Amino acid sequence: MSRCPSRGTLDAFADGQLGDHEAAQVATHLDHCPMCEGYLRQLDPLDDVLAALDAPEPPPDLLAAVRAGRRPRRRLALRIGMAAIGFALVSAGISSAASDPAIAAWVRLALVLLDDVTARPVVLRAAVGGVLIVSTAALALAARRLAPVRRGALP
Amino acid sequence: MRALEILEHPDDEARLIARAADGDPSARDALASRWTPRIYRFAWRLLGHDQDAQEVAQDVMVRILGSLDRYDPSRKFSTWVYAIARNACIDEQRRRIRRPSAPLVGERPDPAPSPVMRVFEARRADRVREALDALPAKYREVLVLYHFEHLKYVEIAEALDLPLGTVMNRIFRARRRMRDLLGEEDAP
Ligand SMILES: [Zn+2]
Repeated sequence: MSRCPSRGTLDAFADGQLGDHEAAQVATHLDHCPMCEGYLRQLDPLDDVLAALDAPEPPPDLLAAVRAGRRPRRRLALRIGMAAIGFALVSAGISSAASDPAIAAWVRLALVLLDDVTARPVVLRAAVGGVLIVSTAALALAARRLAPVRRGALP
Repeated sequence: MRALEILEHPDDEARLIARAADGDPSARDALASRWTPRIYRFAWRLLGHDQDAQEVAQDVMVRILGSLDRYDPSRKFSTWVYAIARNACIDEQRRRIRRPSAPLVGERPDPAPSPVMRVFEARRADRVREALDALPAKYREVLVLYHFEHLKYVEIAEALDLPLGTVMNRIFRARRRMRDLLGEEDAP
């Protein structure tokens, strides 16, 4: 649609009254016609209503961090922490889970817990991560001591 | 208004992006200054959480500035940026899936003592925010992109990688829901 739709068509479009095909034609026209776009926007009562919802100004150190190319600290710490814990869990899992369903279940539970704590404060995440590493390592060690025969029996 | 300023000078922005991609520090700074606040506000409106919005904005902007060479100039820069930002917001939401849904109301820092009009405005803003928060995420994101980020229907379809018809349907439905939600509250 290269020519502007009639005002009636635009009004019908705003009300969602047009059929799919015609509505798509109007929407495509709006992509390169600032006049029709502007008409529809000033027609839209929601625009005024939503204008009440001002987002806060971003803190100045946010822009400074972006300019310096720094990734968010929490994310970086999180990624390193998760990688370490994941590695510990996977190696514990490989070394013992195959022969011990209890440990397999623990590894699964630990992964669920890990997923949950990613939303928590840093201190809590670090604490839970530490507990998970230590307990998984202890479990893996115990399993290795308790089940040498079972493991030996595997092909 | 920043959004319109950029849309009015698409050529300027294309040049700026090209220079930034070549490593021009002043162009990169300019791009960061233009886009960081927008992405922050966008994330704040979708997530309703100040700290999360800051982290998403920082992460997204650093990633974007680091991968400008992968930007395809045949696409609009804004739709590329919003697509990345929106995916980052979805990841953030997934990450905190078990956290009780963040209240949008009361997240604005310092409700300083204010004259009657400002109290009135703040209450109105709270109601709008509650209504927006009550929308399903798929409706909220199209409304935020259309009304706050001033993207057009076609651009939203591109940013969300959705058919144009789906985007229009979602916007129409989202609008109707907003009207119902806000209308209900007006009733005595
Ligand atoms: Zn037109």
